[in-house]
Amino acid sequence: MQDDDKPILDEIINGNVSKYEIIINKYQARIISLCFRYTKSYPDAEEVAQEAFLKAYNSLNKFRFESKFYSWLHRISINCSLNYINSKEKTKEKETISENSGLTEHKGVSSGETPYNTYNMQMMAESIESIYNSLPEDLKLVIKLRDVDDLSYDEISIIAKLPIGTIKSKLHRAREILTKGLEEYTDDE
Amino acid sequence: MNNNIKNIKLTGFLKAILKNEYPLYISKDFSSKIMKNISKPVRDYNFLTHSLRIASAVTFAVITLFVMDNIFTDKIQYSKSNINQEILSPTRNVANQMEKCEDAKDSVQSSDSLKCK
Repeated sequence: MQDDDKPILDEIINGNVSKYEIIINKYQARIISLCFRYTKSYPDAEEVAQEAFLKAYNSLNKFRFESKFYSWLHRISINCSLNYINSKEKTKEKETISENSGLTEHKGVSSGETPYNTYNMQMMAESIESIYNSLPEDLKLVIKLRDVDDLSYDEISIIAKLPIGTIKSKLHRAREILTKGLEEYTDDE
Repeated sequence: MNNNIKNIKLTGFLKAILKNEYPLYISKDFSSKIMKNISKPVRDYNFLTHSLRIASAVTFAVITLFVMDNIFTDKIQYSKSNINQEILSPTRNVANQMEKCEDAKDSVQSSDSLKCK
């Protein structure tokens, strides 16, 4: 199975640790979203996602490239989320037993997270939706097949009846238009 | 931020949004927090740290030996004069009755065996 991440992962395994930032930036949104399904709290979801990324990094030399890296990371994130739920349940039990349970500080409430140090993904999504709807149909099709359905270039070539080179250039064009719409939300960096 | 990483981040956000797998908020320093943890240098043990460790181990060993030598061992005290072996308490002769009882085993009804019981 061809994994787009393999060259980067090989570099990381060979000691270029800084390249792991690419992997984090590529998957952070999806992994945090996955963890949120379990934790139901964004600060906790980020914490669990961080743990998952760290675990994946520490076990990277055990990854055999038999599956896609994202599938493996996805599995690790689910395990971390389940561990989080178990530990939270234990804490809840203790709180019930404890006489001072009413004084316990709830993490999600007092995290101090403000829009100034976070990306507002909701606003980005709204912007992307309107740009996506205005895209020409051929670009829409290519980006849907590649980024939503995760098809290979060969498969897209068969479906779209276009050469792989054309598909790559159309995909690049579509991504360029869409990411431009995101830039205004990340301009402060 | 490095332009390449920024592009990858935006593409990641884009893919998450297109797949409808995105959280409402993401901390801006999410990746840097992880990278800080990853890049943490392995604790550097310099000469001073090594010396202190060895010194503390030696001190501990010396103290342990001292304690074992002084507290846990029963010291044998040798007397300077000869020990008088004379038995001062009076003794009396006793007869061993066991042999008699063993002999009486076969003759159950004998009066001696009854006495032994």
